[in-house]
Amino acid sequence: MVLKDLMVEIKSSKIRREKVITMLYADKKLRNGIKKIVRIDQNSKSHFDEIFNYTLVQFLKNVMEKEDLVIRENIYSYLFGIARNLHLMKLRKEKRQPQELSEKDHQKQADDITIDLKIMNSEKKELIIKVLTLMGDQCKNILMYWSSDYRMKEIAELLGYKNESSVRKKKFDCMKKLSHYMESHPVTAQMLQE
Amino acid sequence: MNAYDYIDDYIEGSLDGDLLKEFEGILSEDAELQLVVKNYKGVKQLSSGMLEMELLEEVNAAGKAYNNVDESSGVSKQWIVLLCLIATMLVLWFVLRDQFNVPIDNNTNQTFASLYKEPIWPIKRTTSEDTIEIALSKYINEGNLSAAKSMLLDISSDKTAGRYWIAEIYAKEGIWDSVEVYLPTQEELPKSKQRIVLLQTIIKDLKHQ
Repeated sequence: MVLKDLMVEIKSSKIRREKVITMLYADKKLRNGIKKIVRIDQNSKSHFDEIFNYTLVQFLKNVMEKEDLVIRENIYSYLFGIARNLHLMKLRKEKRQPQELSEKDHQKQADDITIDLKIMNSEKKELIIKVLTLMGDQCKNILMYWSSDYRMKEIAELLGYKNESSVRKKKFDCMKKLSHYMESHPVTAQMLQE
Repeated sequence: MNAYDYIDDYIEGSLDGDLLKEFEGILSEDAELQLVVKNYKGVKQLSSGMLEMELLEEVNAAGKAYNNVDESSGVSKQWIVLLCLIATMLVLWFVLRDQFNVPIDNNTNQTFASLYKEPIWPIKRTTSEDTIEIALSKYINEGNLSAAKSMLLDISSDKTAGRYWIAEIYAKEGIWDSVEVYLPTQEELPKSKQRIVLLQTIIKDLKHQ
């Protein structure tokens, strides 16, 4: 599949996005490439799984959130770049030296690929899970598409609302709900600003 | 105006003119709107986090499905390997089975030559000779078959052993009809079971030719 088509599929709907994920998950070249990247911890399957899964999440998120996303090289180079940065980030977090990475690897790391997954931070992840339990599915869906800069019209079509106006109204209600939560949990609000 | 339609534009700074004034007018009086504007950034961060969680769930689900398929295909592979192993063993057995069977030649002499083995003739085994030893000595050393046979038939203490050795004499002579007549069964002479089976096999094979 051409990269452009792939990105359209990811943005189009949950079902079509899931098909892309399934395809990427079974891609041998992708799996083997990421296995090479995480070779320091090659004995740890859980480490590979974590890097692999977060690589896909970061990629999907970038496609969904960044309308102007440009992938200059092929998709593999882009995904390997994410995986490498994730891997190095994890090693640094664990205060370990990525000694086995060559200088070339470090140079490659200086890509313009940013890792900005909040769920990589366990505290933030816990907080998000907690908030998710308070929000209904409707709020969750509207807000997550809104945060990805989807247009109200697109959100209405994706989630089956009558019109944009209904989505706007619902979105505002959901924002109020979350704002109230943050007012009563100032530490949470502070954490999210960091 | 519905102020909530313009929150994003207001935060982004793209609201101007009359719309901006109107929005700010509502904002100054609407506590709920103030609350939302105040927490706008945090709400967006949380919403983005919700998207990440949603994507992570989708990826995890794909991973689970992938691992299940991978595991089941692993099981299938094990079965295929096992079946291949069994098939290989069957082929080997089919190819090599004749090597483990007693060869049967078409020619009677060849059969005899290939199957018949001399027994250990109990001659001069001990210093005290018994009837069997003497009888067999008559046959082996003097070539006197009838004398040996008479002596063996006269053994009253162990008639079965006598018959067995007569059968062996006839086997050495290649007179298989007589072997069949005198040869005791395995049950009658268990200690010579293997030898009796061999002689019976030769007799059986010769009959089939």
